[in-house]
Amino acid sequence: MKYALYLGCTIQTEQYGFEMSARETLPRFGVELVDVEGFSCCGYPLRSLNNFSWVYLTARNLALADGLGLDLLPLCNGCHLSMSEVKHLLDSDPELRKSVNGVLSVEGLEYTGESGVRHLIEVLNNDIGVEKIRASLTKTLKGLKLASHYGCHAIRPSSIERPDDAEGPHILDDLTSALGADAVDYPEKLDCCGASLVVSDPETSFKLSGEKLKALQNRGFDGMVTVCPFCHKMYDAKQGAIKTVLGDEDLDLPVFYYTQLLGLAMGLDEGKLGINFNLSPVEDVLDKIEGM
Amino acid sequence: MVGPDVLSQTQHGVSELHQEQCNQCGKCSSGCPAARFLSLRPRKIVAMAQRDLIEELMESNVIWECAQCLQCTERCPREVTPFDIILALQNLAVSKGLPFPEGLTKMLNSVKRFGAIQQPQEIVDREFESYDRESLDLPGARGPTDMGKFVEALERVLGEGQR
Repeated sequence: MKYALYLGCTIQTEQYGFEMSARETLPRFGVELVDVEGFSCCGYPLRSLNNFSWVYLTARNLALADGLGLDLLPLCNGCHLSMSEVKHLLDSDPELRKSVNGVLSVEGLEYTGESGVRHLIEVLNNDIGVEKIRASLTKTLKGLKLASHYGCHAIRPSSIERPDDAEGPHILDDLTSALGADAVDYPEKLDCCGASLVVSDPETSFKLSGEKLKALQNRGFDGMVTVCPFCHKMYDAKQGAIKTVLGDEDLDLPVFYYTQLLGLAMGLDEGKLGINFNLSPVEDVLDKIEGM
Repeated sequence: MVGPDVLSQTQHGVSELHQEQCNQCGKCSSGCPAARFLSLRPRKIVAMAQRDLIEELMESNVIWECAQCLQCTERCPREVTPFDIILALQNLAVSKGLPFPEGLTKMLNSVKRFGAIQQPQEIVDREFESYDRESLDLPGARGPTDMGKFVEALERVLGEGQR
């Protein structure tokens, strides 16, 4: 279990809690994370401007992993979708592959298609497995009702390979249950965080994320579990701004990366998991995590 | 006059656009999160694309109201991929010099300068303490090893994408 760790832009430049908790937890299960020189943006944010630049930039990062003979582990849902989709395009369209490789040669790179792309929830569920996760715990999240937020780009479109089901995803729920928590299903599970709208219409994007946060709070959830830096940033860092846009001072929902909750249940140091960077009201949940 | 075929011509590496297969069932609009707050209706966009109203669509702000959740494409029973049609319209609007969100230009310029949409930030925790990657013992940020060649290749791609 050795992967090229692909952080993308958002994790590497500001969502340090995700990176810290992933680096702190995964290697303890024998998952080796390799930092690769030369990685750049996957290009997803540029798709609306110029779709070919997205294909190219993603192919560029795939090519870097190809050169090392390593499968990729992108932690961001957007990056994971880009890599899965572009890989599919390049593997099914020889002409596109040829023209992309023509440009990649400027940097001395070549896309060969050898490297696979894995999602964090696949690595946790398939490589490690819930049994090993359970066996690693010294604390329990028992009594906490948690909502799994998969993020659109982890589960759609089902026309290409995605890590979980588009209409009934369950892997993150299974992983959260393994920590002792009640991972309860909820009607808004598939709803979008709105992060992609921040550029053109921040107010609407905050309304979208606020709608989901409010629904979870009304349903009595103690917190939300995320696996994507864009979704997490919306629900966690932007929760204050969302309160203002909704005019709802009572909005209050703790938000954690799954790897942070895993680390907490393993009894690891909060500081090493970057818990201090969660800007949502996480204290209530932290107080309820008990020794087994 | 640009026709619907121009949509696929602007797109390198996007699945086939099958707007002609749409029977206007409306599943795309009913699953669209933006439609709850904004005027975007994927069903209407496909209907207009079927009628060659490409210029009207390019010039309209609705194509920039998409949250890119992919639910329209996922739930379409006729494999029409409304999201790819919106994306093609956005690319076309940009290539024609029509207005688009300025945040996109900022991200592109940042990618050209640093290889990422932004540089590593110093971030503040709940106690208002500041930290950067180094103070957190995180490895240095990764980026293209030869920015000159990286930009040369990217510029070539940007030129081709707008043909």
